[in-house]
Amino acid sequence: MKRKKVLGIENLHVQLGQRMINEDISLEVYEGEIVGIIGPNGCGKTTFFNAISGFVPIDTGSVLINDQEVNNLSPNRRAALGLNRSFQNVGVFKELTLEENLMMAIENSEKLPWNWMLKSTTRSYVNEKIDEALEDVGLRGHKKSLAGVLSGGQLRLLEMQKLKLAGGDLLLIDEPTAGVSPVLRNELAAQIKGLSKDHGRTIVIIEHDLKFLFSLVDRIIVFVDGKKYIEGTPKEVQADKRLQEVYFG
Amino acid sequence: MGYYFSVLIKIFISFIQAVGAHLTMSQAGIFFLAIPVSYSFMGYSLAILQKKFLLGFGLAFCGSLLSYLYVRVSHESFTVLTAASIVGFEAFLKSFSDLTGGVLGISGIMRPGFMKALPDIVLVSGCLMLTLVLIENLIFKAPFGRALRGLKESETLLESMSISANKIGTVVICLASLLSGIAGSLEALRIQFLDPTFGGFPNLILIASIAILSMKPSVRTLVLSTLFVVLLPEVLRFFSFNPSQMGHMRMLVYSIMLVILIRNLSGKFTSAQRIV
Repeated sequence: MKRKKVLGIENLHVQLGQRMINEDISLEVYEGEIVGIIGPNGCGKTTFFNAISGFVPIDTGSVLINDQEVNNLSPNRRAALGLNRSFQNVGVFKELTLEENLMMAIENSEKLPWNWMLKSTTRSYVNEKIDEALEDVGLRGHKKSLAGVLSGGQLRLLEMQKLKLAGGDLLLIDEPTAGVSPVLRNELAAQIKGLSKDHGRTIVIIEHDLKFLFSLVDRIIVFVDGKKYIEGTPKEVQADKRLQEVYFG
Repeated sequence: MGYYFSVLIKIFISFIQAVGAHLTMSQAGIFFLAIPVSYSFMGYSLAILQKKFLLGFGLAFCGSLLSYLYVRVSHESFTVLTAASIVGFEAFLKSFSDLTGGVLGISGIMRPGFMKALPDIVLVSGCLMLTLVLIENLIFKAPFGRALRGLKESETLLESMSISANKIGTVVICLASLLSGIAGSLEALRIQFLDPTFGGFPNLILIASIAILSMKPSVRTLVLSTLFVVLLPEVLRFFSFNPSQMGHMRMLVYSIMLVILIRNLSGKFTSAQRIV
């Protein structure tokens, strides 16, 4: 059976100023897959995410989401097509409460009308979903607190719940373990696996913690100097001597 | 009694205008400083077309929406350009004296039938204020209110949630202009006289003070801030200042208050301080 291609990148070039950040990158990500991207600092991983989500203009090449070319679409239009992403510095609004952050995700994914909070049935439906999501990561007690009061790990868990509720079929997750304690990393990994298995999301992750990533993904892509250097299953990449070169010289 | 009516109208009008500043500056973090331009624009439109109240109001209403053009300005120059447009509009009013009366302005502005006396204006502006209390309250609970607050924190994050930051910014700027214009028209009908200093930087200082004082997304805070800022210079009346100095004294009081606010409030409303 032919798998559905959720993300397609064809000969992507991104140049910022005089510097070529991404050079001739092509890849395909299929429905339900978890793909990891690794590489040394400054090799263009985050720029690659920014180019896919429309925050950085691409020079040549094309980005396809569900077989639709999105090169000329703004970031919000790409998100509306089902592309969701997290950010290195945590993609939640710290000045909004946990409840409000999740509310925004539900409003957008379920296309609720502007006056939904005036209808008691919709209100209780949204409340139930929020309670369930917060309960799932042990944050229900903080429902009315501002997200800014949470620890780094708790913020990541909240972000995962937000991504879960935000819908869409493609997730770009940028360094999920940054600032997260080892204990919470396991929970975070379980959340990401859950997003793929239980919610059918296709996920691309940038991560520096190789142990965390190898246990999570189906495929690994190694970036070096803005180019795709190695691609394969975690086993194949781990066995590849070039990986040692990239990280240890 | 006229004094009390005037103060009441001033409170109501300032609140109407401050709602726009509260939404743009305090909530969305957009430093849209051209609020006095639409205040003055709508006041003048009414004064020029005073015998055709509805036409004047309609024209001014459409004109306020032209503030959409400000959105086309780049982020870097937005604040400077919006502030500069206050000076620009004042220069326009002074230059086109055939239309605007130049530096002498327009006097004897006629009020429409339903606003002949001050109590009528109190009633109309009071009703408008109450309506806006309800509307702003609703905005804070609605997706638009959350998007506004999100815009202040991160445009990128907002866009990644399929919300157009540009659209939200445009709507809130047009809304602020419109409310400011309505306030300007009411004030023009109250004082029945306009000159190029109508609106301008003193008006911006008044409204910005209210907006800065009411940083929280709460209508109650905005009402209290409006009361405080509008009533503060009224204390000066108990001192025997020369009437010609009163305007300058009022500005001095606001300026001192702004300095105190900026010094003491910066950082007070960040999440770290707002532990629930």
